[in-house]
Amino acid sequence: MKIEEKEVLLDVQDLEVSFGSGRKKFQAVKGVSFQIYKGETFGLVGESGSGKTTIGRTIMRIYPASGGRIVYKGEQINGRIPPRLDKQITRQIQMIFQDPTASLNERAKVDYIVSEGLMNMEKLTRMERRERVEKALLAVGLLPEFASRFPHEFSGGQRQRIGIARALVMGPEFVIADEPISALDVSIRAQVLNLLAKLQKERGLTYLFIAHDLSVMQVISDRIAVIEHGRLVELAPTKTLFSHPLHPYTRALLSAVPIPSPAIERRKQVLVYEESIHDYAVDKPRWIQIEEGHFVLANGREEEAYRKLLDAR
Amino acid sequence: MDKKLILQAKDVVVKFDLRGRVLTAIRGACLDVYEGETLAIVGESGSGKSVFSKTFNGLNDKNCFVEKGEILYKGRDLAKFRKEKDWMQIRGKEISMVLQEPMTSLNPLKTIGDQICEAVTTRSPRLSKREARQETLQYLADVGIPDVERRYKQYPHEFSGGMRQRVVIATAIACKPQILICDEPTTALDVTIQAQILDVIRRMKEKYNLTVIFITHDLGVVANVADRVAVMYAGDIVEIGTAEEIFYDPRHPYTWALLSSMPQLGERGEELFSIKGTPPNLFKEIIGDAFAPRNPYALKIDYVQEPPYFEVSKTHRAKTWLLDPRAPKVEPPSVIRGLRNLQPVLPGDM
Repeated sequence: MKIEEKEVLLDVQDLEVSFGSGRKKFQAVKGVSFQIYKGETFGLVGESGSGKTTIGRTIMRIYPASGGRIVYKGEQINGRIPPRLDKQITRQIQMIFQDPTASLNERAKVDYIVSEGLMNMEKLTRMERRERVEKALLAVGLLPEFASRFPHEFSGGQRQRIGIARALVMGPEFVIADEPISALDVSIRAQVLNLLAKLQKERGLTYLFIAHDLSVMQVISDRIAVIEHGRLVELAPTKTLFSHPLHPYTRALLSAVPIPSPAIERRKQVLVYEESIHDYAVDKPRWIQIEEGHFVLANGREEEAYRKLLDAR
Repeated sequence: MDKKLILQAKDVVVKFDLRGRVLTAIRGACLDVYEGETLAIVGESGSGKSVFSKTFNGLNDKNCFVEKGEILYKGRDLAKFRKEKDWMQIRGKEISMVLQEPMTSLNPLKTIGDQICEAVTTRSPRLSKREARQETLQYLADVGIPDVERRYKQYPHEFSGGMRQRVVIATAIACKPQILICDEPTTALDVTIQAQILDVIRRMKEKYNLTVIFITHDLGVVANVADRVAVMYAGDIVEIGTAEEIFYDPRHPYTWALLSSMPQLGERGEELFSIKGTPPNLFKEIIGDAFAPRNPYALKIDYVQEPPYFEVSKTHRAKTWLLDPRAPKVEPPSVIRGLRNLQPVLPGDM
């Protein structure tokens, strides 16, 4: 599919988020722009503290944006919005959290955890509610009987499924998954990733997938954006990013991905990224499209070097 | 291998007493550790890899006891140790440990310099204050902490996660141990930091002639650090061999399953492999092969009798009936056969 033919679902323009004020002000996100197309999985990778979770939470409207616009289906959703839109957005954008233990109310039963959002939105009879909860549980591969249990009765993988059911029950179109598998065991990770992929196929969901690990991104994402210190440094389709990464930070991240092969790992040189290699004193970096769908943060000199790399390929 | 044995565990059975119910965490595991090697123990959570390694320096909880078996280290049987006094001769000085979460293994109320210095002075009480300090600074520099004089006086909260883990490693090294046990040292860290920490551990091993036991669930990390790999399932070692043998010629279906479930090997759009079912209940006695209920290649005998070790090569053995000459020939999944031909992510020339 050509990129122009795709429908833009979410458009983030020059997003800025800062915490605190005055001398203590800290800018977590510095002018980030990207578009997410309907039906794709958009990966956002960066180290801890890079601002990736902040972006996700700002789209969810948990944090206010201090600058820029977030446009969802053509309507701005940050700042003051009419109640009608507010209600619509709450249903359509849902989130899955990293730690399935911390994100579930341990004193509530699964039934309540899953349906709490629904009850805020519409009037439901008890029967209707139960039906909806059962449907959501079945969809994530849990048994309807689990509705009357408490979160502590479940394993990590099952808890994460409850978290996914809670997002699904609202009938979302766009789901933000914030490191949904980082806290899970190796054998469970694949199961949760498969579930997310299956749900996407069945319901045409769009995902914003946040993670620090590029190896996971490779199997789940269509396009990947790399964020460093609140700034996007590179954005490209997954294959492109893996086959010819341009920005030194992306290359450092890629070089750190562990490969399950001793022969490769023993010869491996891990690249270390130093911000000081950029000479941005005079020539300021810009966010440029260097080939179709491949964006990189670079100044004039770097752009030239990157183009040479691409041509030499 | 003509290397010297440094630690030898024989038929170790470790149990936990949980208010009268007895859980068998380690079911007769055997392990030989050779001097100067890096041995990785891999497995899912709950497979007993942490418990097993903690029995080597007596760090398990009070309700844990070694029921059977021997752990031989320098002519002494660690499995017989009961008193803290005995352990004090081993812990730190001989066998030291690096734990997963660096924040919980450091004292938040002491400067990191003092914490490392404490280890140095405990080990050699005769050192003068200045000498101890000098040595501490040396350890800090060894693990790659810049600006050591200033960092010496700082508290753990002033360090990032990766830097904290370096401090923990420095503390462990400062005891001058023979064996360093690293229990998931990089799980809480980012991938880039993880690579750096692995590098620090490798350098420390070279410099101080350590034997490293590395516990992890990440096979990518194993490929990076390990000379030999032991795969653990439900409290027993099901396969052990050199890193090459485990990655390029694995024989146990559980090893196949672990390797195939790595996301690195997945393809976009295709379903990832996942291990069906859950690990066995360790409160009950396990009959036959513990992995049988989850094993698509399980034979009838797997449900009846526990398989013995079958030797594949001098260094490689696995506990599965599939290696019995009477068993049907089973080919490992194609993903596994592809491991040999994996290419590095970054093309070298760019």
